[in-house]
Amino acid sequence: MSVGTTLLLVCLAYLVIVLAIGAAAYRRTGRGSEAYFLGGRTARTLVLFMALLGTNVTPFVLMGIPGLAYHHGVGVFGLNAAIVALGIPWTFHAIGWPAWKAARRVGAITPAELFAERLGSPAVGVVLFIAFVVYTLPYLVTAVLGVGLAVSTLTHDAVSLPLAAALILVVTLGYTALGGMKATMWTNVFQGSVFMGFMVIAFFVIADDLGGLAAATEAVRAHAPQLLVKGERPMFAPGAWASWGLAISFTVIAFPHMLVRIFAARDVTALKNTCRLYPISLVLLWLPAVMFGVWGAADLPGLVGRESDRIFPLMVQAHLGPALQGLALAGVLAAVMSTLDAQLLTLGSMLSRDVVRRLAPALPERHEVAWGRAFVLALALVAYAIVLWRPASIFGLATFSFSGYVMLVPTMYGALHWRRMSAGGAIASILVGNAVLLGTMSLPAPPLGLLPVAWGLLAACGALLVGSWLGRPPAPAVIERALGPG
Amino acid sequence: MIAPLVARRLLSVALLALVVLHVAPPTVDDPAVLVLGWLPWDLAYPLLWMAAAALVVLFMTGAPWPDEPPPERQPPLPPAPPAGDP
Repeated sequence: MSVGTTLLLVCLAYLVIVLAIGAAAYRRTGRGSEAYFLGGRTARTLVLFMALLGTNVTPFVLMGIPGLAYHHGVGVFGLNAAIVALGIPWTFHAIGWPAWKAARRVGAITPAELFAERLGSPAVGVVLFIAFVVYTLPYLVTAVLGVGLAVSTLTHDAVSLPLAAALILVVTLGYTALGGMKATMWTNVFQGSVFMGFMVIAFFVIADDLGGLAAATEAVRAHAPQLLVKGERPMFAPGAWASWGLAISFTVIAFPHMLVRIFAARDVTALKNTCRLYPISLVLLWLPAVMFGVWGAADLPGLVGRESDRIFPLMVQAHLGPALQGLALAGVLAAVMSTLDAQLLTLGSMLSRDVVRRLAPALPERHEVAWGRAFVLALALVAYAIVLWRPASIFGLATFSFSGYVMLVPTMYGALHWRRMSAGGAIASILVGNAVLLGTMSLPAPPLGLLPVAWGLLAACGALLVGSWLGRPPAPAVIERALGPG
Repeated sequence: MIAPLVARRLLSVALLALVVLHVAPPTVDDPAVLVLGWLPWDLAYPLLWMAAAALVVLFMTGAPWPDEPPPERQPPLPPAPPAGDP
């Protein structure tokens, strides 16, 4: 059997299983918005953990990080993976858990809806909705772009990037539109197992093919020793290191598609167990991802600029047999689809709940869902157009998104912990934070060596405090309804 | 059993210590230094740091984070407001 046929068969088997799981979830999904968008808030530990991990892990990890490590070496691991092992569980505790409780109290289905209810202001919901769409779109593009690159590389361009991107969007739209949250969470369990299992297997098989772990490192020391130390690279300078750590730790809880999955947790035990499992899973994913890039720099030298985004599939092609190549492709598909489905579903739910329902309060719930589906389709078409345009590398696109999401964190944290906070403070924080972020991004070099995200976050915190002190907090009944008795 | 307030303070100290150890890591600028024969120092250190972070997360999910009864044993949720209300 040829390599191409094996790849096709493995991928077809993967897609059939995903669609079968989606169909089974569709049959068990109840009627109404809460059942469709939150799966009835019943996710226990395994489903919640895999759904959050599956949603969190994208081609940014599987394709972007090996590509970055190819040029910048092992320091990429410390820069990205280490701090999130602490940052993500802490934000689940400090923001996710109180948000879960408040969402249950007010019956909120989307993050924008929750904060609009908490602050007694539909305008907060609209501003958050716009911010979520603006920053989710480029992040969504990284997922589709990643799968397009992987498929075109592994199939030697027999399946082109545009065709692969279109196929992934169509399949994901299919099961997401039908089965809603339950379908996406159930498929995420399978998808997470596929990409995590593949990364662990591939790490040892590729190392073995390179002569063992010690020989693989020795080859890097001989050909590109600068990759085995952090060195003096600008991205590892103290200011950039600290501010990127801040960004990558705080950004995940501000992904609307992550927070919505936390809303779907059955109880606090599921969320606690998820926090406990997170650091281990990050090591299992990120260590291979970084080493593929570093080993690849010695094994397959010569990739320039964003061409290094292809190093993961190139290493797979060079060192794994046809079946594992098929599993690699399925792994990338799984990572993409498990994020894409959550992003599409969440943005769709936000349009229907935070915009359509406000404009047409008498609209039946089934029409709300229909609006959500139509919006998701439109977003997919815009994302596809940006993929074809390909304005930046995967890491570059993700950096823009991550920095933008961080500007929402002061509003989220403040609304859940500070009863004096006002809607004016929230809107000022989001607008000022984003203005400062974009302003510092346009400078040739950000001041004091800190990344734009740090300046934007500082400005967002300041605007939140000033705006809330100048404005009036919501009525006590509104605050108590969301946060409970003070 | 540690009181929740004390546990939260301990957690804050542990978090601060880990952040400092992340922002100012000890560096060994020599590619020849390998841990276990294959791990460069700048990879081994963050792995050790992650092990410490995993222990802190384990602690965080204990005393500082009180358990709550499952949904079926909690009081009923307040009624939703009429559609269209802020």
